[in-house]
Amino acid sequence: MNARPGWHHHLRLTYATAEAATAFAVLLGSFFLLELTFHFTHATKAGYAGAALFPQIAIGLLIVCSGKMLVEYLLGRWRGRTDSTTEIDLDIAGLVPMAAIALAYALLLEPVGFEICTFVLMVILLGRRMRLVNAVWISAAATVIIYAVFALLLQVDLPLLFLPAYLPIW
Amino acid sequence: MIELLYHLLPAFSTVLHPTNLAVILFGVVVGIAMGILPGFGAAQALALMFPFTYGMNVATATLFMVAIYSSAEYGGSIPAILIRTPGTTSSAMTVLEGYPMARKGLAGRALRLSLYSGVTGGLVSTIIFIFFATSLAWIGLRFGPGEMFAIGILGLSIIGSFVGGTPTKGFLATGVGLLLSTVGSSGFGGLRFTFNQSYLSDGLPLVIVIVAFFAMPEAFRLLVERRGETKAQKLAELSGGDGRQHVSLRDMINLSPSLVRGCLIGTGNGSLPGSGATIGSLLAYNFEKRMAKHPELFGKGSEEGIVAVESSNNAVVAGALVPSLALGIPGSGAIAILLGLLIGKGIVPGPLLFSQEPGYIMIVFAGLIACNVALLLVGLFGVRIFAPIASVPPAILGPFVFLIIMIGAYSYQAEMADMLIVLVLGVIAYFLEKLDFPMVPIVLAFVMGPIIERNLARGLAIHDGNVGFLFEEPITLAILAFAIVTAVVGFRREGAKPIALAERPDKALAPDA
Repeated sequence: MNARPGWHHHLRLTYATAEAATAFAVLLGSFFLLELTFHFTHATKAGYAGAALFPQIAIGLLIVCSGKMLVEYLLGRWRGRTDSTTEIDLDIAGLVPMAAIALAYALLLEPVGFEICTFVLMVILLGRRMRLVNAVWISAAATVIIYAVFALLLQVDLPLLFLPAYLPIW
Repeated sequence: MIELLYHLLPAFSTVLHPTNLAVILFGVVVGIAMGILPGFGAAQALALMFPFTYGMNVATATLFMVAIYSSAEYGGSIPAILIRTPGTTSSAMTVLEGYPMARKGLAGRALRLSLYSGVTGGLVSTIIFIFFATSLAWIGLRFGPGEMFAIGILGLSIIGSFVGGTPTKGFLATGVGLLLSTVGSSGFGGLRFTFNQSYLSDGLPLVIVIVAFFAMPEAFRLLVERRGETKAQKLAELSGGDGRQHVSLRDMINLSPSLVRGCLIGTGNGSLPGSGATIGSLLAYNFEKRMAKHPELFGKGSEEGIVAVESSNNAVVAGALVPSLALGIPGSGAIAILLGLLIGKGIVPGPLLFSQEPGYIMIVFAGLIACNVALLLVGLFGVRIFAPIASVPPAILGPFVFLIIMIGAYSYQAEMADMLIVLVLGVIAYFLEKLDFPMVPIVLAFVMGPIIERNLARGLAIHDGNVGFLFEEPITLAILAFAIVTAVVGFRREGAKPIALAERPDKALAPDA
């Protein structure tokens, strides 16, 4: 944690800056959603609850909390309070590939099929940390086991290609 | 109460059906195994195993979930004692006394003490549960929308104030959960926050929200983080080869004051919405230290410390069921998953459940007893088998956890959109957790949001739009006043930490199940 905050392989921010950035994002999002609530169905009579009342209460809570965090951050900086001792490693470089693989799996599961998608996903994830041969057979076994548990045992409707031909669903 | 007892025998008959016994046993094994894995608490275990309940009837599914919940709390103590790595956050206090005992060659004794106290905690709180929940349901039947609204607000106030590093973050997380609960059909005509996506018109499924906020961040952590992969963890010796490992009935009788205190603290704490086992174990440990004749022995392998913490941890399970089944207000993140299961199977938790479904209530009661007996048996004979699970490298574990989450999400309604929602919310949850935003308030507020909104709307409709109905009944006023006091105390606690933004908050009260 001696490196200075910023971009390296990982995104390192000071803890307070990361908190403030999150609070700012929540605040912006809250105002955007608040604007949407004015277009919701109105109450039938004055004083009655309409569709917007409860979301507005929830958004109010978000605005107060995120506003408080931002004000405290700005006050802290204004008073010269330092926060350079505590850093947070967001590990963007690690997360982005994982999220991309997950997204690809979610999008391709139906068009490509469970067997190929699952096998390839497991080979990619396991192959990073073990010998490819081991990754391949473990992935094949995992695909069959997940099929057996979810499709055969729990009768889940998976987008299957060829496994039912060898291990038929009863 | 008497009516409930008529259903006791049929309930035990249901629980003892071979299929249900097998499911309980499987749930206990899965729960212990998942509790052992560092980072996996009861909530994560339940979220991950939720898809397995799709094909089960409501009784079997409930027994499965209760078995996992009870045993995950115990499972967390095994690596805490053996390798100084708590499997669940609530087992963090077990490390303080369990590991020093293991270092003295008394690991077997520490594990047995943990097991016996956990099982006792579970059984005692089950007895308390049936009396307390029945009384609370009876009171709940007399509650109108004003009182139910106030109880919901109190629940949110407790969760926001005391779950997580700071109340600001706790309440912000609560706001996120409330907002997510408003997605979809409003009940007042029209849709909310659907962004023209027909998938969202029925709202976000509770299962998907639970998996996204409880299980997905853990999967990302396992996939992304590289710490500790290569370091083989050495398991402490399980036996010192002498009679000191044995825990006799006399030993347990001598430790019974600690046991009783742990049970009561755990049950009471569990019945408070959102407080969970971590805070219960912290309270039980500190209270036990104050009551101890030899407090100087704490931190060096005190048996009283282990017994108090472990009985409290397991007593939380039945305690958390009290407000959940009696009022429909979830007592913990893990119980929110159980509520999701019930709602999904057409059972509405709340005061009417006790009069309309007494058979089900007694199945839960009998199931809790059976789960604790199964836990005792599996714990006695399976510790040696389970212990090495703690040393499975994250790089191997991560892909399997991730795959089960994705297939589990898809299985819910065979929708690709469910996987995408889990993914998006999971990434957000991963970053929020890095910043110590608690996940439990998000899920609990998501469950409680519709209850609060419905009762507010009903109250306003009954009283012709006059919000004054919230201040007419003394009980409503008292509950609301308590909610405000709770929030004020929470923020005063935050105020006592002047460098809250500059330093990472104390993780001792990190969110748990």
